[in-house]
Amino acid sequence: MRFISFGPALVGLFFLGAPALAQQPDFTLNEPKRSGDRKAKAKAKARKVDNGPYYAAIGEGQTLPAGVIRVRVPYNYVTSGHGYDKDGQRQDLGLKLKATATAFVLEYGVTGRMSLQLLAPYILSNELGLDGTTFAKSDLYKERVAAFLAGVASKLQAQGICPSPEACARLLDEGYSLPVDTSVTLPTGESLTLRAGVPVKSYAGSIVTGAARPKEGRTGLGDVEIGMLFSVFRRYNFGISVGAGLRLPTGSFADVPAAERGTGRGTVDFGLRTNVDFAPAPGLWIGWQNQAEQMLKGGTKRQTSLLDNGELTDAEAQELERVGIRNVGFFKVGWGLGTLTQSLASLGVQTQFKYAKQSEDRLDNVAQGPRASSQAFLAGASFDGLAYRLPLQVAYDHEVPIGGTNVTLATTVQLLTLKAYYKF
Amino acid sequence: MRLVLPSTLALLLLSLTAACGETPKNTNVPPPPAKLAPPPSPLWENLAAALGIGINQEATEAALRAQLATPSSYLASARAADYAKLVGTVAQTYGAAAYATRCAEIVAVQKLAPAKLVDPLTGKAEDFAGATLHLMSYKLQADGSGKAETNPRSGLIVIPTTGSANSVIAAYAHGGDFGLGYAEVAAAFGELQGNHVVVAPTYPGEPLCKQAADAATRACDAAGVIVPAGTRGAAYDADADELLGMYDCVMRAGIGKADAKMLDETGKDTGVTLAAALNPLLKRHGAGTAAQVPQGIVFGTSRGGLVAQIALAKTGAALSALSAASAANPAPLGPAYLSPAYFSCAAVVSGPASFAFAEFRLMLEQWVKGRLASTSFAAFPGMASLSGLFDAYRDGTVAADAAALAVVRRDAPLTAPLQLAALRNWAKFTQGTANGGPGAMLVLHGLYDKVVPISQAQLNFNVMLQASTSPTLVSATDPAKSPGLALFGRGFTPKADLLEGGKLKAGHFQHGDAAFFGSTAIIPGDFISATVTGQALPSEAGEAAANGLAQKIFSVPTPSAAQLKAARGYILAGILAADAVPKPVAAADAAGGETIHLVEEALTPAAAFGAWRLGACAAALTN
Repeated sequence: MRFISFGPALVGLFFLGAPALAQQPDFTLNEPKRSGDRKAKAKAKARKVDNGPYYAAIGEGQTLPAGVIRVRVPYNYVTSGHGYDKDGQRQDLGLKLKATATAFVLEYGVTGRMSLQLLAPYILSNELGLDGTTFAKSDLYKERVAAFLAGVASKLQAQGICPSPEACARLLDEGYSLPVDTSVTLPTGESLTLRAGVPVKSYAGSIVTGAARPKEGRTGLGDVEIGMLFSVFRRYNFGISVGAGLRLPTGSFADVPAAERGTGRGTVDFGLRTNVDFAPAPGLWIGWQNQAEQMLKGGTKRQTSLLDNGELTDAEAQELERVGIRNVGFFKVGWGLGTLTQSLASLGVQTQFKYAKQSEDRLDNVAQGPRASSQAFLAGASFDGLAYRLPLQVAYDHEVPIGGTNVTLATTVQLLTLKAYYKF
Repeated sequence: MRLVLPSTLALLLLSLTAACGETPKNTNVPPPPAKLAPPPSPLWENLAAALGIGINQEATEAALRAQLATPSSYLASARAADYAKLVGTVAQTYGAAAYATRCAEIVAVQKLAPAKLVDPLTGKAEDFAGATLHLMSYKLQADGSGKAETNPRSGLIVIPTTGSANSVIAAYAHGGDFGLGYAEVAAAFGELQGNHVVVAPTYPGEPLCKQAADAATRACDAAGVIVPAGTRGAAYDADADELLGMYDCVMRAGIGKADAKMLDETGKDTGVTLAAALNPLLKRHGAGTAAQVPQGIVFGTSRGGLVAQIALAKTGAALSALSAASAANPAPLGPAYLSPAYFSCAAVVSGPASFAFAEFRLMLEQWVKGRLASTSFAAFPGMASLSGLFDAYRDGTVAADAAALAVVRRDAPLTAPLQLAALRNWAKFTQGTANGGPGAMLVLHGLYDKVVPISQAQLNFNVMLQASTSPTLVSATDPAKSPGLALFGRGFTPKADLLEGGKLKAGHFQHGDAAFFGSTAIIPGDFISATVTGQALPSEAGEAAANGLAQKIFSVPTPSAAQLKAARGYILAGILAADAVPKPVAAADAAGGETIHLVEEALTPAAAFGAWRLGACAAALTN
């Protein structure tokens, strides 16, 4: 089973898009630098002077105005009860997740075109439960049990107990037990004694289910991220921005047994973000954001005991690598209700199609499974106090998974974000 | 200040949402590996208890080896009374269907070809002028009234072409479950076909093959089928019935109580009947109560080894039952049961002895639990017909004792007293005055046998030895004693070039293949060889007449604890390790009246069998 940890996918903060600031009366739009863009300059100037209609929607690539600080405190309530198998079919492994997280996000507009960001996620609660009966019906369980039994079956065949791998597998499935206590070496290097008289398949079930048996997860600080966003091109209805950042392994990971799920990812990652925003009509923004991440520095991961997945083995820690580009992003449509009437200027709604393609996790250069991908749908609404010169915003978003492959747990996220601004 | 507000609100929301929904819990999760315990297995445990054996669960391999090497507790002296009761019970069940072992009709005897001599090492065959090969069709009794069954059975009969009153009837129980082929018979007897009337039945449900049975295809070889397979019977048990039944037909023909036309190769009547052909050839016991009865021996290889011993046990049970005849119950086995067989010698080559012992006990567990088809043991000869043996037990319609009895009926050590009762020098038997002389038994086995482990022969030999040397009486009313047994056993070592790292090379089995026939036994013999002196027969005897034959009350001895201890020495040494060559018992129990015979020179299995046939077996046939 791949790592179940609280990375950005859960907290949903890494390079979280800077929301609209452009239209607040106190702040000016970034001035277009190209001398030829006189129309844009004129419109910007006119808007500044005329203080025109306000829309609680803006492109995701918008940077903060110079000298502006924004503090965001999101609150995530995350649940999950299913995932997706390798064929994209919904699968229920019997796992139920309930977790909450927050973060402290500090952003600062260095110039009108460049913002800096510091993000410190914090896991508040991390609870996961497993229903063994449901898990035992899953393909994952069956595959792991079959793999365990195949190893025993080959030994039985070598001893002449049964004539073929198929017959030996059938014999084990029928409840065959060894007549004498027998030690076997598990992949972790641990020694397991198969007791005489205990059906071998009971051990298979115990070990496979035991490896998935969760305990209360770790809480606390996650992986801290720092980054910047630069507005490459900006017009009143179109913008392109790029950003870069680092995620640092400040969360717990390396020495966290599998049952407890750490708060971080364990590696140093570099991220490159791209935003393209377009407003086909006033107050209506269509945007695309993609963030490509590449591991810069690998980490380590101590092995979890197969006999008790709440414990670590004494074996030397394994080298962790994340191979391949990890892409996360979304397509967004945001609409300021101010287009209906300016009395609703403080309200906005948005919807997103979100996607993610994970990198491949390798421990000691052994892949831990195929790359996972996921898709989700997000809908949300926001209240923008800036419409009333109040430097506060509140947004609520609800994200539901709609598809994926090789996803152990596809999360449903309820995200409440509070934002406050301050201008030096 | 502006920062404080959002944080406060967030924490407020946290407290609200965190209370939403149930906290996930782990449910229905199996215990960790360290806490797994053996589940109760009453079906197996109850059956094991009924058989007096362990349940194959031990912490260490050494403990398991010791457990598996411990035979049924019925064989311990402390349970002598239980053993006697068990033997009595199984004798009763044998007796209840004793008619199935009796001949009802010889349908026809047709010549097939001249006999052959076959080199077991090369398979090369040549004509043997000393005997001819015939197909015999016959019917056994369908019930106690003597009514013939509907469909005839088939077997091979080899009849010497020359000789005068010097041929012994030899019941041959073949190995495997592919069918009976003459090549196996010819290889087993060789030139002994010249002075033995060899009677070789198929087993129920098996074809009769022209030449040999092909182990690879599990069918008659390319030479084809003489008689196709009929209805399958319960292996070992029904096999023994067929062996005894065909032998009975020939024995009756030998004393003129049954007959049939003899046909030539084309099916034409030769004008000679079977009785007429056999009468001048057969050697009779010549003295004592069974003076007119043709001498007989029984010989089995592999599967047939156990079949031969069960046939002996059924014969012993019949003799014991007949000995209880009285005015009130003149025919304990039914009015049509005239006479049992009168064997003097038995040879068991590479035969299994007990499914409840040693390596086979591990398979018995899977068999009882209904997993036989998934094990290698499913291919063991006869298992195809026995896979459902414990179905009724698992269904709960048969009790453990009854299910155990199905095992005992196919177990040589647990029926050893009945075998002893059947095997003796009948020339020295006189009703009421002489108990007969010792019979002769030969046990040959490959020490590295991969099909039937050597431990089977070790148990077989030692239990027979102890049974014959410790004639503890079972019947409180009958002080009769066993006449004893000349028992020879040899474990054979394959040629050195077939061994690698102390184990037999791949592709060799030392079981009916060249690795067995080419192997040798070198001094000292790997099994003990013992001649047990005969013991005087008290005057008491039952009386029943059948064709001039008398019936006898027979003792049912059981081995002593001390003898079993010696037996376990063998068993422990050989169990589970083919490369652990067992050592012979160091000294004989002089008090038991036995003498030890060590082999003075290297012997091949064929030479050992020939020497035994001309030695101990001949002695058992000498009046």
